[in-house]
Amino acid sequence: MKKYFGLIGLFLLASCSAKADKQSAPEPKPLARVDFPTYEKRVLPNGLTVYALEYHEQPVVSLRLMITAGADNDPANLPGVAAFTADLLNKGTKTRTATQIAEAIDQVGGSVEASGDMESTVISASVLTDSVGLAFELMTDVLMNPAFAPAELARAQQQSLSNLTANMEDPDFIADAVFDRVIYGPHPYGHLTSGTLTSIPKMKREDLVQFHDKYYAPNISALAIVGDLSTADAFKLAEQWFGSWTKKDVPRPQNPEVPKMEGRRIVVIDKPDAVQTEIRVGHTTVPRKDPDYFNVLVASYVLGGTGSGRLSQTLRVERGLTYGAYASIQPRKRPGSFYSTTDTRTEKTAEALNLVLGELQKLRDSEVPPQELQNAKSYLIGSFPLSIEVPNDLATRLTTVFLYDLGDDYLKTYRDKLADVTAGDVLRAARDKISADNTAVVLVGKADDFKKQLEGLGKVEIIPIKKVDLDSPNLTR
Amino acid sequence: MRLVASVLMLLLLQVAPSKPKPVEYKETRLPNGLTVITHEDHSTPVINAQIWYHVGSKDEKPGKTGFAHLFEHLMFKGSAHIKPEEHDKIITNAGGVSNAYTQDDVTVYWETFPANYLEKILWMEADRMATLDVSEENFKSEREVVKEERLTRIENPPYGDLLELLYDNAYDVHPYKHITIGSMADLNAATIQDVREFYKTYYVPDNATVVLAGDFKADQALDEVKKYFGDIPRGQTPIVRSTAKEPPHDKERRISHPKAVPLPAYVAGYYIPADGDPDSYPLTIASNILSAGRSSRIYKSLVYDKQLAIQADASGNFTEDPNLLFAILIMNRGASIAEGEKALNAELMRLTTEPVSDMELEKAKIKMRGEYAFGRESVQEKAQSLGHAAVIHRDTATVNKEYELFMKVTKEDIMRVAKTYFRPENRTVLVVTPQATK
Repeated sequence: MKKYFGLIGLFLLASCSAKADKQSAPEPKPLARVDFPTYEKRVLPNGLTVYALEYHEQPVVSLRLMITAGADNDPANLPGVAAFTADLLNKGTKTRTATQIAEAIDQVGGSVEASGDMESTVISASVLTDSVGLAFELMTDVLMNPAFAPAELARAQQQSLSNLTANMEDPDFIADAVFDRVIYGPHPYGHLTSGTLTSIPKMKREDLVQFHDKYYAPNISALAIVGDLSTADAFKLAEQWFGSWTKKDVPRPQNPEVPKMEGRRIVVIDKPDAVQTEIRVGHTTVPRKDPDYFNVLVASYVLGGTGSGRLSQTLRVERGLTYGAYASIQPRKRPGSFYSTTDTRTEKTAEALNLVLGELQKLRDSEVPPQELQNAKSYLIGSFPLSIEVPNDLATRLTTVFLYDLGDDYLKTYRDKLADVTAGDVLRAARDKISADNTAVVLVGKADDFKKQLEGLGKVEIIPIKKVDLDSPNLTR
Repeated sequence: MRLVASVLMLLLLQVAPSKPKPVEYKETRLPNGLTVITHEDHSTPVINAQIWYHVGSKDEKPGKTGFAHLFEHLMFKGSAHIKPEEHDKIITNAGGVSNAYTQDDVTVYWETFPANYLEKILWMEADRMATLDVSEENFKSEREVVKEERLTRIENPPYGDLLELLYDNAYDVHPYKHITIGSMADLNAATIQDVREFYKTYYVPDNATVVLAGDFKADQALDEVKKYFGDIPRGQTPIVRSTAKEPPHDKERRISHPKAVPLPAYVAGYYIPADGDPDSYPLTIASNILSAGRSSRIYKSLVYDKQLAIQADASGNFTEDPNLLFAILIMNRGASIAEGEKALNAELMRLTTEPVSDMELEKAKIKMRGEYAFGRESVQEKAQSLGHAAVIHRDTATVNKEYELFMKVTKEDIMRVAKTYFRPENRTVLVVTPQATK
């Protein structure tokens, strides 16, 4: 009998093994090292840094001009000037009206956009290769000759006020805005780049003209030209169109120090018709160029950089409390922020908050286990090829290196630096730069239904959503 | 001489505009009915893989709304050789990203990853197509996640419920009446038995399309697809598609929705034909003329000149069955819906009474040319275009052929479709007026 069984057993084994390669995962062969595509960098006589990178996958060219001055240069009493200055660029020049600019670029199926961010102003253009000359022409015209016409300013103010009025009742938006204000205090990093309900109506043409005169300078700017264009042509066009942009002395912002959270401050924005609570937890952390940046970055990925992070595992997978729970760093030249974000049904507010605080504490209590550390690092390192796929991404990576002054070898070396991060580094950085106790907590939701649950978690301030005032130190009118 | 040369250059530029590159592809049907489409792109060592299942929220039965999407979440809850949540983990650890989405007509699973992971990804996707294994406990906890998703997307944001209301009123018999996320009551009523039946019926190779775009050799990739998907059996349960047709409506439907929103909003949904219908091409060009770019008619009139709205656009939601073209307005502070609606309708009516100018028609076509180039840069965008052509149009060649149909649209076509579809009785209107919080 045994014999027979043996034979049958063998037969079964044989038939299984034909499929065995389907049961165990085929392991990937190593990928040859992927490098950032070759590009050339030149500095024009007026100080403008120009990057040119050829990329021929589609007949398109991306231009990205970054001026390293943004809302961090807004006058203290007038947040929003950098954004309005940028916003009005393509709304008319000395020789073209807003409509003519729109017609010209729509006529070739491209785009020319400008926006003011926290630490930079970006003008970008995307066109089909046959219109690259027009892109340079329009871009430099809006850059150097903006009209800042009063009628356009009035229009932009009205639009912006309406937008903000709508946003001020959007729980997601208000949670972010209040959070930044709580952790950065009076520092410009804490104000809305778009301006506030108080500052927007006060904006005058002179404010914009002044900002443009002072900060729009080639010597603090970089231009990335990426796409279906030879490097030689790219530099020729850059010199032809940007060569006449005049160099100037640019004052650097005199901002107060970025504050550090002392203790836990819980701000509840009461929205009585909410069915969910938006949750933000965090504080200021390291500057982008700090030696600990990568250690804190790895910590943020362990905590919640992806859907496989601890926050998602704990809140979403194990308990079904939320659709998403993530952690990230907002990098800045001065200390940026380290924050966790999630949302949950009203009655689970405190449970979710406590879980987030618990995960923060865990990062400080013990070393990240080897496999988990490896996972976070391999994501950060492995995602490099995905981040250099299309012209816009490539242009953005180049100008980001310029913005934070990361050095010409950064794109070559940062993966090695990440690979060197140890569990000890992460623990040390977490104890130094991450905290569950000295942290801001912002909750936007139906306060009556969860405020009792917050007892014992820290000092709680409750502000009705209609009374939120982002210009006031205590956030309320 | 110089002058002549530059004039010639100009002429040359005009006669030889950059044309979008066609997306080259190979298509195969395996004996078990699985469609496989590959596109090689060696510009970066990454690959995007998509598995399109031809099932969406329009295939849901009454009382089961939201199920196709709930099911999509469960596909991450483990199969014979992959533990729950491991699917995403394997991909993120490789530096890749993965996700899925459900629409009215389809459910699509996708991942973008470093090129050396192709075989492993195929093994994983085949494993969950063949052997999904969801526990009762994981089913229940993921249902809570989906309910949270409904709160996050629909119930909590000020304008989150607009489309749900519009569709509920715009359709009587066609399943597009309910939006993909479904109702809380139906989500609560779903059972693990429903999961098993749905899986058996729809998640079969003959109802699926594998699309790969990126840095691989097509022949080798196809061999690997055959290796892992080739012996998954065909579906045994016949798929019965809804044949419901929405009857033409003979008068305007109008709903007023008082809500605690900061600014009034207006949405008009005009019934339009399905994706790929001959009329869909002039309608798309018409919507470009109406609202693509700052020089478009609606933007120019309502946002720029009259400053009535902060957002104003018109765009068609083209799907497998006839759907709606939305004209949406979010009003500027102090502007009334009545003024906005009047100005908007004036632009729609103008298309029915006077032909568009040559310049505007040309501009809308060039815009389309731009969309073909800018919308097909990444491997994900390319795979997306191929999947859409194969599954929704049932003709992969349309991925490139449609371009010519857009280019052939005439002024007369635009006036004809405007007259056909932009009629008051052909629309459902939703007016949202701000009301104080309770």
